[in-house]
Amino acid sequence: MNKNVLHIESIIGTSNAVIQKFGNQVFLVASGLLSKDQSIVLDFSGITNLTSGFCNASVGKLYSVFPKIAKSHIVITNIEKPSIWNDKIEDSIGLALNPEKAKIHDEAILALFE
Amino acid sequence: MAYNIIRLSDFDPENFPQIFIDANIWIASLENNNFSSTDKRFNPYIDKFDAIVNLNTHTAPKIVKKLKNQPKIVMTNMLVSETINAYLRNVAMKQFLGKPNGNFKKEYREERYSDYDKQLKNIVTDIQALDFTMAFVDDDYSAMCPLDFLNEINRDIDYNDLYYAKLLGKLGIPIMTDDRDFLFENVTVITNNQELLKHR
Repeated sequence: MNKNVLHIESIIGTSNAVIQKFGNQVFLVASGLLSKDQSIVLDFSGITNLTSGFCNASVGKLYSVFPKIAKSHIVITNIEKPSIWNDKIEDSIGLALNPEKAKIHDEAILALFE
Repeated sequence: MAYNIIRLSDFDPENFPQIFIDANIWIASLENNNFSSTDKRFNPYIDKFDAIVNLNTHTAPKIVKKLKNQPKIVMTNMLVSETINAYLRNVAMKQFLGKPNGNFKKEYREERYSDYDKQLKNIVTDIQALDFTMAFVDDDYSAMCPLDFLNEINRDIDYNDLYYAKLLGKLGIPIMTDDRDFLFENVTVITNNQELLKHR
């Protein structure tokens, strides 16, 4: 099986993986490959800043859209384990695979605007 | 009374050197997920937040030279505190308990098996990750005659809003907020809130 290495910094054009827009860019590239049943490596080398919003929009969304193949087809590299960055990625996957929890999370944020 | 209110869709981040963004928009931008079909009326704020941050990621002199501004996001002592507390109380605790209300201290912060420590670390490091976009503002609190504020607060005006209005008005910095109560003559407000927009 082919493994396509996706270098996050190259895709988003910055070492700051901090906004959802950048996460969406990674999702678009990765989802194109996953939808063809190809495996991917998400390479975080060079990244200097990382937020939960980015992780949710990239890794989390990939698990949300491709729940059956994500675990076997996505490898994440150059993230220390354990680390707060690894926690953010794991949390985004956890939310993506638990729609009820994600809904509570979303509704709580929405309530801030009421 | 005349208020300076800008519709969110008309707001071009490049036109301002500094922008204050309220805690709720900070939380939505840092922590939002798109895994449920929940109404996301805060998304236009996230888009603007992202646009501001994106402008700050440019470092190539050729690109930077072409920009009118790389707007810095103003950070104050009170805003850091509000963002962390609002996230833990209003988002993280609800998610942990799986219900809309709970006793913050007993059921969450002091609960042995809660994810409080993890979520605290999460929001703190998310804020720190945006360090390169921030301008830290000293509020010169004593010069603001803070006790005089107390004569101005009432059921429509809370202390924090008034404090921000005084500070941002003095510094000439606009605020992005959806808070319908944030109506002050001396501060430019960028919003999508229909109640605020009625005062344009």
